[in-house]
Amino acid sequence: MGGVTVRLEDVSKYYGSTRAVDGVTLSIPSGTITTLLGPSGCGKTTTLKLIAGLEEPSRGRILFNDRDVTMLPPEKRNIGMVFQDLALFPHMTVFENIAFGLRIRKVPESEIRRRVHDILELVNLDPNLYSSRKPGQLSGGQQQRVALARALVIEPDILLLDEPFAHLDFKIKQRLLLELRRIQRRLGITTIYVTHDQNEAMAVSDKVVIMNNGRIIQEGPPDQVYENPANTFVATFYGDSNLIEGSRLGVDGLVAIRPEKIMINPRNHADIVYDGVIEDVIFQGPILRLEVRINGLTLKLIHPRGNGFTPRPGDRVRVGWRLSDMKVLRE
Amino acid sequence: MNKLHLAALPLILFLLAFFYAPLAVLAYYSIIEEDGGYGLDNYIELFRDPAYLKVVLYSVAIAGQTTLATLLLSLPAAYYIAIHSRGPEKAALLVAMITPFWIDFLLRALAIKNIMYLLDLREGYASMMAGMVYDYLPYMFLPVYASLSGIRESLLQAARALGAGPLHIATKIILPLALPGIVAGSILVFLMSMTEYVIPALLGGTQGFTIGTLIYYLFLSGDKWGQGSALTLLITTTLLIATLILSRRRTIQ
Repeated sequence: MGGVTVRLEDVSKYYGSTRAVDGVTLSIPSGTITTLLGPSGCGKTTTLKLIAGLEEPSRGRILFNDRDVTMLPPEKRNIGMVFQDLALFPHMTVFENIAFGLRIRKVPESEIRRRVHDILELVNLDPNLYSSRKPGQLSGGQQQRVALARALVIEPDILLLDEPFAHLDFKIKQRLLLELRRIQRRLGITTIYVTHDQNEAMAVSDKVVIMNNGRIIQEGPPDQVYENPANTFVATFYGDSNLIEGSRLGVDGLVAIRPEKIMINPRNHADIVYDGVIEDVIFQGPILRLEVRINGLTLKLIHPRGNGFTPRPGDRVRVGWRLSDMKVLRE
Repeated sequence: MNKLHLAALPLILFLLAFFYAPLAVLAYYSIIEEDGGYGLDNYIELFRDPAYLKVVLYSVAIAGQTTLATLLLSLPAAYYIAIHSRGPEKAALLVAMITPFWIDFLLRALAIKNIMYLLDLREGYASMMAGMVYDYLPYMFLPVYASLSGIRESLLQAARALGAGPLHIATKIILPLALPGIVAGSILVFLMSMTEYVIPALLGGTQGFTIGTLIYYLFLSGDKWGQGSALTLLITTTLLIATLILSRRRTIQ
C-alpha cells in the first residue's frame, strides 16, 4: 500500500460540447490526502472517475507512479473507491460485501475471514456483531464504515472517496473525518477526497485542489490557500472574505480581507482604521458574527465572545486591520 | 367493528356471481355420474385414463417452454433498458416494448396466424409457440424490468472498482438482484399459459391439444360435462394451492 503518486497531464473530458474537465494537470503526492474541492458541477467528481477509470478522458494522460493507466479499465487499476451513495450490495451481508474484492482476487477463504475481521476492527465495527447483517440493517454511519472497509480490504494503491459523508449528521461526519485521517495516516495510502464542503476539506487534507468550471483554480496546503487566495472565487468559496474595491485603499484591483482579521476598537495594532456602526449581531456560541457599516460598505466580522464586549445593533465602533492581512486578488 | 369491510363488498359480489357461483355449479356437475347418481366416478376416470395425464403433461411442457422463452427474451432487453439506456432512448424503448399490448390479444393472435401463413407455416407447434410467447411477454418483461431498474449504476461501478469483470458482475450482482422479478414473472407466465385456450385452439392445429382445448371439447363437443367439470376443478385447485405456497414462501423471505 501507499507509495503511489498520481499524475494527470492535461486531462480533459467532454460530454458533447460541455467541458466537464478542461485541461487539468495535477500531481498528487504519495501517501497524502488530497482534496478536490468545488461547487457542484465543477468537474471534481468527473476528475475522480477519470482517475478510477470509470470514465475515459477525451484528452490527456493519467499516470500511477510512472505507469500510464489512461486506457486501463477500473478493475485493473487496484483502486479502492467509496461512492457518494456508498453502493453497498444490498443482497449481501457486511462480510460478503467486504469479501467481494478478495474473492475476485482468489484469496484463500481462511485469509479472507482474517482480513475482513481485521479491517472491521480498523474501521471500529465489532466483527462479531455486524458481519452477518445486511446493509439495510445498519445506520448511515455504520454503512459508511462498511463502504470504507470494503474499499480498503483489497489493499488498493489509491483510495478514492466521492463525497462519502455528504448525507451524514454533522456530529457523525466530524467523527468519521477524524477516523479517516487516522486510518489514512496509519496505512499511508494515497487518498483523493472529493467534496463541496470547505470545512471537510480544511479538516482532512494535506493538500487542497480548488476547482471551478472544469479547471483547477488554486492548489496547495489548506492553510496556505486560505491565507493567500488567488482570486475572488477562492476568497469567497474557500472560507469567507470581505471584498473591497482597491481604489478605496489606494491599490489596483480587488482586495480581500478575512472576517476574523478585522479588529474591533484596535489600539495601535491596525494600519487602516474606519469608524462604523454595527448593523447586525449573530450569536454563534464561542464567536459572534457582526456586520459593520463603514462609509457605504458593509463588512463581515468574526469576533470572540466575552471580555465584557457586548455589541448591539446601532453601536458606534471603530474597526481596523493590518496591511499584511489584506490580499490583492488577481481577478 | 368498523364498517369498512363493506368497501370490498361490490367486488366480492361481482366475483361471486361470475366466478365462484359458476365454480360451485361445476363442482356439482363433477359429482353427477353417468347413471344420474352422485359419486366420484368422473375424478376416478381422469386418473384412470392415461390420455388425460398426457394432455396435462403436454400443457405443463408448453407452459414451461413459454416461460423459458419469455424469460430469455425479456432478461437481456430489460437489462439493457433498465441499466444502460437513459433519457429519450429509454422512454422510446419502453413505449416500444409496451405498445403491442394495448391491442387486443385475439387480434394479435389472428395477425400471427396470417404472418405464419405468409411464411408458409400452418397451424402447429411453431405458430402456437409464437403466439404464446407474444401473448405472455409483458407478464415476464415488466416484473424483470422492475427489479432490474432498482439496480443503481454505482453498484456496478463499485463492483468494477473492486476488480469484478463482466461475468462476475452478471452472476454476483445483477442476477441475484433481478431474481425476485424473474421468480414473479415466471410464476405469472407459467400459471397463466398452462390453462391458455385461445392460442392453442387458434394456432396450435393438431399440436394444440392442451388442458384449455381439452376442457372446451369435453363440454361442447364431447358432451362430457361431468369429466370437464372435474378436470376444471382439479386444475383450478392445483394452481390455487401452488400460488398459495409460492406467495407464502415469498412473503416469508
